[in-house]
Amino acid sequence: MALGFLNGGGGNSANFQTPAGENLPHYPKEALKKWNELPEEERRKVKEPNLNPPRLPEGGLAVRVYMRPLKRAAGGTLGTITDQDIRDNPTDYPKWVIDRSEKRFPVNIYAEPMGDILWLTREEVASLVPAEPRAGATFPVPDPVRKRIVRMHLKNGTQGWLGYWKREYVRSDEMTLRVEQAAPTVRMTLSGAVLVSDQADPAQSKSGYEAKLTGVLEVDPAKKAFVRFDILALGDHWGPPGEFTRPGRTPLGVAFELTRGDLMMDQAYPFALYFPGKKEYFGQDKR
Amino acid sequence: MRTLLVAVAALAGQDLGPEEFGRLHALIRRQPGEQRHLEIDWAPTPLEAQRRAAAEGKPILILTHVGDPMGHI
Repeated sequence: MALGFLNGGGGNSANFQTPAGENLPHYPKEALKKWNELPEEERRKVKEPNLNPPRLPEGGLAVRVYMRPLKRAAGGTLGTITDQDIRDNPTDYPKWVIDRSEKRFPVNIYAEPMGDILWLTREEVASLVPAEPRAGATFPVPDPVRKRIVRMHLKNGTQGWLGYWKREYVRSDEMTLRVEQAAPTVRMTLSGAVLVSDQADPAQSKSGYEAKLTGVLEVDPAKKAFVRFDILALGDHWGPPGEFTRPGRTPLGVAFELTRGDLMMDQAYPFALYFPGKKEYFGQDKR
Repeated sequence: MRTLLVAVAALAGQDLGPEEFGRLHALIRRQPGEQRHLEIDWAPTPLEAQRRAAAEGKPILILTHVGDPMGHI
């Protein structure tokens, strides 16, 4: 079956259409029945849809983002949440068992990572590479990149809505790059720490994230491109209020890696382009 | 409060060596068997889906979502 998708729309839904854009019934069996009743010439008609999805800026960089809730296993090590964890601990994972039959929704739907894409412009990519790299040199991650990572890509969306952090909630967001190797490739390590909280005093906060960031970025001057963009944010998340929210402060990890072009998600656009929107995503709003 | 601060400090203050960084980075990324909808041979644009559907004589399955369903779902 040829498959396609549309960007946008409200909520999750699946639908069937002819290549001309005519709707078929909602459920697969009925859709197929209606399709089989159509004359051959109707099935072959194509009508170009009027859609303009966002595109990666020219010369920009797309980075995969994976966000996953974690658990503290015995001994304090971090691990992934299993199906059995969710079934056995409804208090720790409130309402995560959406479908008791587990036929429509698997138990671990909220334990799987939530995907997203980070977009950087050509200028922002260039700002991450020192003009004359020297081993041992350090420099702060430039403002637009740092702010976008923190505000648009460190908000817990593992239960279905990524969202973003308001500017005033970012209490601290330090990120530094250090050149470890200047040639033949420029390899840099990233270190940082962020605190996002809806209250100035995190102890009074209902929603927030406190995390340490670690990363390895590598640029190949011969290819004039990043060949590695691995960043890990690891820390405790709390809130927002919601029926699926885990109680207290729980570990949340966010991993960034270069897109490889072998998954359709590599061509997706960042969720935050939809909400709060392109201007705020790229820091072009007046605030 | 005190326990909370210790927990956060223990996590946030942890310096990761290269091996632990690699392990945790891999742990958080998509694992085999997860997000299986990404393995479907999606057409990259509606128009290409329409053309393929017309050429192959098949209907189109459309998955819609707030934002891009290939990224965030």
